[in-house]
Amino acid sequence: MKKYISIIIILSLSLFLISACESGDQSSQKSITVAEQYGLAYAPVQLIKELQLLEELDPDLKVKWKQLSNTTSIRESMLAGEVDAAFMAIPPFLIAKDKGMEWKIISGLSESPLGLMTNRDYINSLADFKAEDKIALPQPGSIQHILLSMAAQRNYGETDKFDNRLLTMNHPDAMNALLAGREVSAHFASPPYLFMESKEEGIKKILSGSEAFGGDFTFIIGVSTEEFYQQQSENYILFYKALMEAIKFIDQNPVQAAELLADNYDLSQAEMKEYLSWPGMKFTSNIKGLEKFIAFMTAEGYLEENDYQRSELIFEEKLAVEENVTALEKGAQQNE
Amino acid sequence: MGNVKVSSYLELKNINKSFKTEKGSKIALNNINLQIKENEFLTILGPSGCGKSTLLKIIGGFIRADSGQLLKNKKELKTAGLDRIMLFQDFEQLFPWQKVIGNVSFAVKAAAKNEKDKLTKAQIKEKSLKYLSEVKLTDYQNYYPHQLSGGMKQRVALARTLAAGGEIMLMDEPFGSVDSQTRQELQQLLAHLWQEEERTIIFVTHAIREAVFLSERIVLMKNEPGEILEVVENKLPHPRGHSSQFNQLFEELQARLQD
Amino acid sequence: MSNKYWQRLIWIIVLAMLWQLTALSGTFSEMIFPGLDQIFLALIESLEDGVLIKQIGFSLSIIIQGLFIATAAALILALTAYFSKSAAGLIETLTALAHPLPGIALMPLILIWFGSGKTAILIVIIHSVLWPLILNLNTGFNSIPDIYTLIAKNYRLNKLEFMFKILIPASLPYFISGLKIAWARSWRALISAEMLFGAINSLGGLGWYIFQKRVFFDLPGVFAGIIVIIVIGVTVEDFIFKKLETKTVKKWGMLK
Repeated sequence: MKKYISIIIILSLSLFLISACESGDQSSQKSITVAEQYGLAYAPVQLIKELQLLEELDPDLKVKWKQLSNTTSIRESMLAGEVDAAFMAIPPFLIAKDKGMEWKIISGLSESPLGLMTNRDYINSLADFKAEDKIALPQPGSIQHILLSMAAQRNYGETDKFDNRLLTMNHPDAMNALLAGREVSAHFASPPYLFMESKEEGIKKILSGSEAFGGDFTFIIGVSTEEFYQQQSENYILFYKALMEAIKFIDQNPVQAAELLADNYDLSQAEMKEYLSWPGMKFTSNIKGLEKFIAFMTAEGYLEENDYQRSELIFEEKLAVEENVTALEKGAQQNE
Repeated sequence: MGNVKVSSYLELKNINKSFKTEKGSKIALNNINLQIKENEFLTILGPSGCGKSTLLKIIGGFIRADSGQLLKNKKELKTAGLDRIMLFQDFEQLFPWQKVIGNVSFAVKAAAKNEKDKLTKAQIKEKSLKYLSEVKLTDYQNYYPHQLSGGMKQRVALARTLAAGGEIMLMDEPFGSVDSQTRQELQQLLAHLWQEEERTIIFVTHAIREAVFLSERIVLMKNEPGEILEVVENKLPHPRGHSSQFNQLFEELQARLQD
Repeated sequence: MSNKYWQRLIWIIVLAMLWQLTALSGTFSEMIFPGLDQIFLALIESLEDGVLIKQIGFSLSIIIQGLFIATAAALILALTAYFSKSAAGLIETLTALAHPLPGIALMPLILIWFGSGKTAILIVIIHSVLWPLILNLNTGFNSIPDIYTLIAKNYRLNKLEFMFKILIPASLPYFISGLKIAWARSWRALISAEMLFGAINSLGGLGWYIFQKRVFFDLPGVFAGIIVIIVIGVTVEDFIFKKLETKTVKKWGMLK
């Protein structure tokens, strides 16, 4: 009997020790961990790293960069408290928010062309897909999946028409598979893969992101946790400022940005310049299309709640800027 | 008492066998010549290392002699076969995954196949039970070997050896691993069975008493190198017990072996 | 024997209570550490709408197929290696090279060569089962008492008779322990492969179910899937294999 009691005590103790360790690390330190992902749409984030914008704003700030390969791991990392700021598309953000994740949008990052690329001759539109044609995209619930579902809904009234034909593949593997021409018939691609694929013979685009969405939308947003925002508000503001700087820089100096980042993306400077100025690539902190995403995803059951206020979804700084902009616009209108 | 025929039945001519050891070559058997009569009970008696097991294995066809001939009815024997069935000392000679009766019917089936006989399931069972009853184990037919004592296992093995129907039965110290009382019971059983059936039995042992009890002729062997000393006749009448002649023969053999 | 099961049950209840206490204490956020009530709710929901049952059926049917094929192949290969020295060299080398490879490491290759359909998953399962089985069968065959070989010679058994009457029954303990290892490895590999390979006609198996729950941020659902995996694993090992052993090697007194 004694043996059993001591085992239970040890188990409980270890559990409390683990949780104690966790909280120990989160005392007000001057540090921020940012998740980075590969993709042209994240270019301004890379600029923050390249130009050391955060260190410039505050030399005491410890900046850690964490390379993560997909949105799901970023989400889990943030939940575990390992990542303070990250970037992703709107649908994955909404899905987690809906399930109770306490995070909000920092700001928009980029709008980008997206496209459904196919290697099969007989496919010229969504109508031509056969049962055995597989579509590669990053994961269910990704923006690519949602866009595809939107197109399916609009054209066929069936949101999940293509759900049985999805292959979960990251972009590099998907591109290889698409070019190999066997297993995968189509790839919902984003830059730079989208651009690389469109240069290949035999690959054509049959659906663009904006066609699927029915308009313009923000591709990548920046997100952060409530905890980070409230408990390290100084660091949050520093990050916000750095982010705004980076976006402004790349928007106004695309050529210079291309030179700085080409190596990082393993592209030639010429390619980098071409891709950054591709029609549809836009780096801005505006957030477009949020309501439409919410409406669609709620109607189709991806989200349960449907009456989100903007203030529930976006951190104040951005809201404040938006209000200023709106006020300015109103002011400009009044002055006319 | 079995019918003992005189003509050349089983013959060993100039059998030689050596083994390679770490120290070089060891002569296990040196120029063995032996004639075995049909239906006799022959014992090969000697100390350990004298090559008696090796000799038995050569007769059985499990080992090849380096030189010499093994002949049965003047024909050379080259391989093992059902005509010379071996009863081992090892308790593990029974198949643990078969019941007792299954172990015996294994031999019945092998014998039938050898004689190109087709038996029905019922016939196989009948035959198996017959042999089991000869070793007085009918009640244990559905037991598994691991449930039996050592002595009982050897009885089942004996039944199996009988069931194989071989004219010659080779026995390699089969009772060496059981206690002395069980050993005596088994010896009595074997002696009784040999008198009932017509089989040639070649029995290897180092126990003098066992040799005297069981056999008609005793081949005495010495070791280093393994050779036949002499062949001694045993004309004691059955059933054999502790008579003065018994003891006399025992002491004679003991003396011979001690040289 | 039932004593051991009671003990197990009590420990499971203790652990479950510890879990629930930790969840309720709020030490961890509800997102990372859902309470047992949430998990069971998720489990019951999935069971009710039939989704989980279908996925379980899919996973089980694939693993049974894979086990079957691989066992047959292992038997053939191991028997060949037993009877032919040159074949043995080849087969043992193949086994030595392939055995340390976890199936997951091979998945990129399998994806390229076999696509991502049912065939690919079967290959992963077969790879997980084949090598430990061959190893165990090999050891088993070579560990049978020498006396059996003498008996086979004595009774003039041909190769087939020897195989079926002696070799295979004698090595059954090794076969069963090899099968246990193979099952464990293949069950794990199956779930991982399903997570990677995605759905095939809306059926992707238990691994796919968990993956879906994960990307849609349904952590209680993930745990529900995990519980199902554990339950199935334990059932097979504690019930099916135990029964098999009782009916064979235990009955024969051949337990290693």
